[in-house]
Amino acid sequence: MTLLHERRDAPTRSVPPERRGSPVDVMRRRMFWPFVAPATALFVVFFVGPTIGVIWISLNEWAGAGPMSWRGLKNYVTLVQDPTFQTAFSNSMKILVLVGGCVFLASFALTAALREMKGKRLARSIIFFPVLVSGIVIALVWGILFQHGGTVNSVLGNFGVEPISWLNSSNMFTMIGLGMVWINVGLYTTIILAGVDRIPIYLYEEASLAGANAWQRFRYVTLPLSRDVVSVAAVLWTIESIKIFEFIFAFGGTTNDMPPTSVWNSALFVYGESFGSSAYRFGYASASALLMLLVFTAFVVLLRRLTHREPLEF
Amino acid sequence: MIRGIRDDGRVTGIRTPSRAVVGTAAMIGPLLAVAACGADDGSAEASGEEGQVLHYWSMWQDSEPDAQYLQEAIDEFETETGITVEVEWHGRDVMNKVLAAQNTDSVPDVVTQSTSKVGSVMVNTDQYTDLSSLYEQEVFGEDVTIGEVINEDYEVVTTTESGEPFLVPFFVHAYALWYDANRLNEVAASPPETWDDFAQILEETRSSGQSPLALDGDIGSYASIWPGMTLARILGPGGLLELATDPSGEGWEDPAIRDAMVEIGELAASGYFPDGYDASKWPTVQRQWFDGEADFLLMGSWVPLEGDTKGWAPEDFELAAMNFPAFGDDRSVPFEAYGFAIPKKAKNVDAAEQFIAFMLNKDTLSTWANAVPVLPARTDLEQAGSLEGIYTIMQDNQLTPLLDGLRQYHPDYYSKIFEPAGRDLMLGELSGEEFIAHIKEQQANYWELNQ
Amino acid sequence: MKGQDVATTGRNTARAHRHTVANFVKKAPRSLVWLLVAANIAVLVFMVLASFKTSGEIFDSPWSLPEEWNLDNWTEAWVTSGFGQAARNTVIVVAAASVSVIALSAPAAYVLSRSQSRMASGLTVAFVMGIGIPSQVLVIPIFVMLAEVGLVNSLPGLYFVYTALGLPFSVFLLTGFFRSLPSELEEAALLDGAGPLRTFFRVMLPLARSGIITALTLTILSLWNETLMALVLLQETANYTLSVALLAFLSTVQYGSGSYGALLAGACIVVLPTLAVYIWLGRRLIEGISLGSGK
Repeated sequence: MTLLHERRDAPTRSVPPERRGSPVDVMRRRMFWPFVAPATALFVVFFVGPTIGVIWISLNEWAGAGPMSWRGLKNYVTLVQDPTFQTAFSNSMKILVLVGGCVFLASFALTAALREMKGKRLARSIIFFPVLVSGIVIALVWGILFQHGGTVNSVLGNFGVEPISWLNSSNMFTMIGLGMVWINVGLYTTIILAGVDRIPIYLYEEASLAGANAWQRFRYVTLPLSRDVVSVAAVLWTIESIKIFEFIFAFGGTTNDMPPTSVWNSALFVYGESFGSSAYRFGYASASALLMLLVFTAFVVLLRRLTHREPLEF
Repeated sequence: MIRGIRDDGRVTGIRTPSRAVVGTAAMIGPLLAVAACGADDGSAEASGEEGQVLHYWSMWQDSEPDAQYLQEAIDEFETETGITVEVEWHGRDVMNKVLAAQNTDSVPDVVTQSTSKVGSVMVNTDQYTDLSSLYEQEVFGEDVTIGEVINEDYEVVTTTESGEPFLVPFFVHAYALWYDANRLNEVAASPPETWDDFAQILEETRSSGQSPLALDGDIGSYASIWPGMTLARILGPGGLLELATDPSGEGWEDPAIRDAMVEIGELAASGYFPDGYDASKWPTVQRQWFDGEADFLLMGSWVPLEGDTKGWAPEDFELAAMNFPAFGDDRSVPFEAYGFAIPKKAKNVDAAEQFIAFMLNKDTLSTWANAVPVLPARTDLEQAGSLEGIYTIMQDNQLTPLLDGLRQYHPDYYSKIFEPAGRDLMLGELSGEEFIAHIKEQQANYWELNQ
Repeated sequence: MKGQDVATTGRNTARAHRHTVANFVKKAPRSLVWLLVAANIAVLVFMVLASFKTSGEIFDSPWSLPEEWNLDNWTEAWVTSGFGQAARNTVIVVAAASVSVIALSAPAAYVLSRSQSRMASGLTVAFVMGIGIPSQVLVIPIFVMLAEVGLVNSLPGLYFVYTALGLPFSVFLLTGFFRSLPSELEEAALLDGAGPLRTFFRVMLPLARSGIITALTLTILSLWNETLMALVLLQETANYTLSVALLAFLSTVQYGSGSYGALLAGACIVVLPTLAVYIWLGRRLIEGISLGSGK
């Protein structure tokens, strides 16, 4: 995440180093803390503090009230051997890699089409919208559409298709994945398109003159030149995918029950082990949250390393 | 931030952030005021200069019929005693709130929830009040004590390991097979008592093209009652708990268990449930059952509430209950008890006890229970209407906690091992044999990891 | 177009094949675009139509107009199921929190973008890292912390949490935005003796107006749909936000005369305001996202 930032500051420094001692600079230094302190205070209280707190809780066994008992690293040792956590972990990774892969493939396909299309703005706006809709609403509608006696099957029934069990145990996670692709594709298309729009038209014109067809123009112009924006988008997806909660929670869950453990991801595991199934294992839940954060942070760093190179000037 | 735990169990060292919070609040004061004024009207802050104030946190939301009828009883209590009751209608998640409050000084004086939820939040954290003396007190307006009117069978789940009562039951849900006596009049005339007889009826129904059984497969807890009840029948009261907490998991190898699990698993594999029951959203299948598309529904005694109050049952639907058939001689009836508990830090224990004693009054309780309708926890109240059948079954048989209280004593095991495996069995994802192998391995692993 | 010309002039099979491939590559994404556009509109239309229908109608004739446009479902959702109260709570908390987010992050972002001290870059990095910390990591300690000061199950408590949650992204976005603004005007103002506060409010804020509106919109939209924190921190019906109210409604359609129609009316109450904001500020929003992710 730190790396997300590094490239944007270097070229646009607005204060040249030689002016450091100027009156402007003195004044700036004087206003630094008054301006930054309130935000920092809140950040420390709600981000730094809780992060330290969660590390502490994760080393204990604690039912949310009453005494804590020290467990050291035992929660972590238990976690990696817990099949439910392994499932939740692998589901999170599936969301990250497989769903992510589909989101990016679809986004590229849409970008390729949108770039040269009439009605581009309107289409993009409409495709973008689901990401702004509450995951619960999407889950609800998705459920009504796809349940066994739901709208999709009744529409298909008009064509003589037997009802399909979209939501049974074996299809459930796939449907969740599909739902997530649908929700997110608009956002990533928008981001990638923004990068693509910055590619100068003349490159495409030259490619066309050289006889390149649409696919070749995409393959040899768009793809390499949007590499930077894609890598930013990939980091964003990694950060966002670990946060996914509402959609799975509302889609798989019912009455007062959690969704089946087979579709839990990291966030659901934390909720399930703490409040969701009355287990109230706060130490264990905290350990799982931290472990997952660690893995995803490593992933982000790796991603930045892999895609890092000198920025292209064009 | 959290530096340590004081003797009374409260986390200390939290004052730093709170001061920072206050500091920040000062900086953005006007906005805070906006936020605050929108928040205040619903909460029940103590004001009680005139007379006592009782803070009651309820498991219902105020839009539910249960709550509306309860409010009438509360109004009556206020006129009778002069105590003001501040009710917070929290809904089913009320115990999460209680859990939070237990870290502070403002806890409610009395709460309602199931024994299992109260157990995890108040007993496991040692934040309950021992209600022994309350059980000795007389019910409001009667010459009997509370202990005398509550069925002794409920004691298993309302007391702690050391035998202290922490909850006074108010109503119960009992589990049985439900059907439409109007349509299945032969079953109504002589309900099958053994599994074999029952299986024969199911098979006949199935071959006639009708679905014999209903189940909303998306709800794990509904599905896992099937293997749960079957195991209770085979092992007798307490047996399931023992089986589930056996660290080796070897108990699952019992041939009787194996045979029964294979039999139950067959129900899913051979199409005893309606098409798509594994891919629907509750309450689709239950509605189908009310509409006569399936015969039997294994469910708690809130079915009458759904049938009557919510109007899911058609006019000519005659709701009847039948005890789950026997695999051996066990005929016990599983129940879940719901009732009142008093947190340790409650300030107004006296008023809370009066409140509980009032609510258990014969007229108060039966008026409320009949209106909802739900089974009251008192043994001496006659039942009529759609609850009559289940009430008779309860009187004729021993009562045991649902799944031997597995969900209360080991919620984590239940939700991570038992329920998912049971659901897979009932949805045909696992055969009986596979179910045994799976749960045995998972269980051994679970207890190894969690002592 | 050119690619197509090249392909069509050829007569042999290889070329014809390439032609179909090229055609496919060109057409498939375009149909995907229209398919998605159609699906999104269809789902929205379905939702709105269904909110006026009975449960039976929703499943039997999902796409037809309702037999009669009655508002029963809406009344039920708004009054009986508490969406009215929840909408009020959400509007108040989200509005207050979003404005506070901007009020806190704009000055911070401004000085962070202008200072080169080690402290400034450390803080900037810390805020960016904050974006990556998911709510599920923070929720338990925050819960404990708020419980200690009596701010659990309280909207002011949620307001603090939301204000904090919105900060990192807003600081990140606005730091980038302020950096892209020229510093000459502001320096001139400072040298004229305008004072830092005056310079910030009179010179910088007006310049940063569009960035601030973008940050505000994104904050509003993300807090509007926030669920996990609200689910854990609020318990009483009277305090529910729309997300929690919808979840509660979803799990309790059975209470009262609840139906899918009413449930979808509830869903509309959650979604339509977002749609309105999106139509109103959507262009700026998409620009903001492009700006935030680009470079």
